[in-house]
Amino acid sequence: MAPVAPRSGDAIFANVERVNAELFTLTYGAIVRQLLTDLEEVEEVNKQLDQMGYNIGIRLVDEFLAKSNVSRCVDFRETTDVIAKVGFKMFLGVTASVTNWDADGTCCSIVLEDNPLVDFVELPDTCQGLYYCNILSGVIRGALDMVSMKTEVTWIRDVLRGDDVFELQVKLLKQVPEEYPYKDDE
Amino acid sequence: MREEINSSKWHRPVIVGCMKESSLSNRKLRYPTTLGYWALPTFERDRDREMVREVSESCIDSLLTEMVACYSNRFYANKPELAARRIEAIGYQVGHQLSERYTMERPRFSDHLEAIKFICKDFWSELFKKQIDNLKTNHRGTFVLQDNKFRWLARMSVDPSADNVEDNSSPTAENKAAQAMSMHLYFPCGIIRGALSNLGIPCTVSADISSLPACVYLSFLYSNEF
Amino acid sequence: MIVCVAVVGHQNNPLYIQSFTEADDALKLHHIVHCSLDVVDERVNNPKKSGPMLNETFLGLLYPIENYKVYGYLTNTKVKFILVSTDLDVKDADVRNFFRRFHAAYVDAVSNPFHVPGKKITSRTFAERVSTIVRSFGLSSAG
Repeated sequence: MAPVAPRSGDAIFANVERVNAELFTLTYGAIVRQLLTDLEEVEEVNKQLDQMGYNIGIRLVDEFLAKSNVSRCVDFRETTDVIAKVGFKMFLGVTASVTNWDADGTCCSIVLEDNPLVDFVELPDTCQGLYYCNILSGVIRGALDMVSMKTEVTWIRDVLRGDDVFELQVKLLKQVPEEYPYKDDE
Repeated sequence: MREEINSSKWHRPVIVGCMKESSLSNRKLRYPTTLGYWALPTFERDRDREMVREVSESCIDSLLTEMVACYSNRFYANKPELAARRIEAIGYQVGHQLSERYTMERPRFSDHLEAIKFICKDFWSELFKKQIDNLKTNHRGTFVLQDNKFRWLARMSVDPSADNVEDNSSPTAENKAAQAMSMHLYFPCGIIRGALSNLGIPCTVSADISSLPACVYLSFLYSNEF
Repeated sequence: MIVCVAVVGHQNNPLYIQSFTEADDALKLHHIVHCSLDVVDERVNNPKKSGPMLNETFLGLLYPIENYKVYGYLTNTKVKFILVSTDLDVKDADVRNFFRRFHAAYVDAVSNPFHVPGKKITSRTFAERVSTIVRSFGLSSAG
C-alpha cells in the first residue's frame, strides 16, 4: 500500500470535533486562578502547570499520530517542525513557527503569536514570576518524551510579560531511537 | 463554517458499568411537571460579527481530565470533599464569566424561569452543541435538568484496568470509575451554579448519573419561591 | 461629547467610572451617575410601557439635568452602564451602538481570570477600549 501523505494542520483541524475556544480559555484561567489560591507560591503553580501539561502531552501524542499520518520522525528537526505546524494547529487552531536553530540542530525556538490560552488575560502585578502558559511547555516536553526525545523546554519570551510573541526554547538532551511507540492507523 | 448547533456526531460512549441507579418512575412522582420550553425563541449569537475562535474538543477534554486528576489524586487524594469543592469552584468562575458573555446580545429575562430556560437551551448549546433534553420542577424550588448524552461523560476516558468485562462487577473498579465520574461532574455543576447566580438565582447544584450511559441529571435548588 | 461613563454593579457598587472632561467636574459627574441609579431602578421596576421596550437592555434617556443628558443600560447580570453626555442632538442609534461596544468591552474585561467579580475593573485594556469607543462616539454611522 502506498504511504499516505501527511495531512496539513488545517485539514485535520477542519475535521476534528471543535468547541468554542472561550470555554477552554476560561477553564484554563479558572484553573490557574485556583492553583494560585491553593498553592500560593508562584513557582509551585509553574511546576503544577508544567506537570499537568506533561501528562496531557503524553496522551495527545496518540491522537496526533493517528490523525496526522505523520511518518516516523526520527529527526529532532522534523519533529519540532511538525509539532509547530501540525500539532498546534490541530489542537489549538493556531500555527507556530520554528526558529533559532543552533549549529548542532539540537536546540531551537518554537514561536507562537496567537494563543487562545491568553485571550482576555491580564496578569496582575502580584503575579510576578508566573508563567501563565506553562502548561504548553509541559505538553511539548511530554509529547517529545513519548517519541523518545528527552528535552528541556524554557520560556524565552512571554506576551503577558510584555513581549511581542511567545517563544519557547526546546533543547534536545537525549534521543533513544529504539523505543518509538509507533501506532498503526486503524 | 461552524456546524449547525443541533447536529451531533456522537462518539461511541464508553460504558463503564452500572452507576448509581436513579429510579426514573420515582422522579416522575417527585417532579410532576415537565416544563415545555421550546416556545422560547433562541437568540443565536451573531457569528458573522465576531470571529468565533475554536479549539479541538480534545483540548478541553484533556484539560478537564487532568484538572480532576490533579485535584482528586494529587492535591487532595484522601479528601474527596475538598477536591470536589475546588473543582466546583473552578466551574463556578467559568459559569459566571460565560453567563456574562452568552447573555450579551439579548434582552433581559422577565423572570427566573426564562433564565433557567436560557441555561437549558442557548447556554447548553454553546457549551455542548445540544440542548438539555428535559426540564422538570417540583414547583418548590427544585429543578432537574436531564441530558441524555452528556458530552463530557460520553467521551470520558477511563482507566484501562476498569474496562475488563470480568472486572466490571468488582467493587474497586466500579467505585473508582464512579468516583472519577462524580468528580468530573462537579465541574459542570459549578458552571451552572456560577451562571445562575450571576443571573440573580443563587442555588445549589448536584448531579446524578443514571443507569443509561452518558445520561446525567443536574438538579438545582434555589430558595426564592417560584 | 461624552463627559462620563460608569459601570455599576448589582448592589449599586461602582465598578468603573471615568470622566472625559478637562474641567474639574469629576465630583459633579459622579453625583449625576449616582442619582441616575435610582432612575434606573425606577425604570426597571415600574415600566411605563409594555411590549418590546420592556426587557431591553438599553434604557434610553434617563433624565436630563442642567446641560447633560444621562443614558442607561442594564444587563441581564444586573450590571448598569451609565453614559453622561453634553450633546444636545444625540441620535438614538449612536447611543445604542455605544452601549453595544461598551458591553462587549465589559464582557472581555470580566473574562480576565484575575478579575474579581464585584470588585473594580482595573484592566488597562478596558480603559483603552473605552477611550476609543468614547472618542468615536457619533462619528461614523456604520455599526
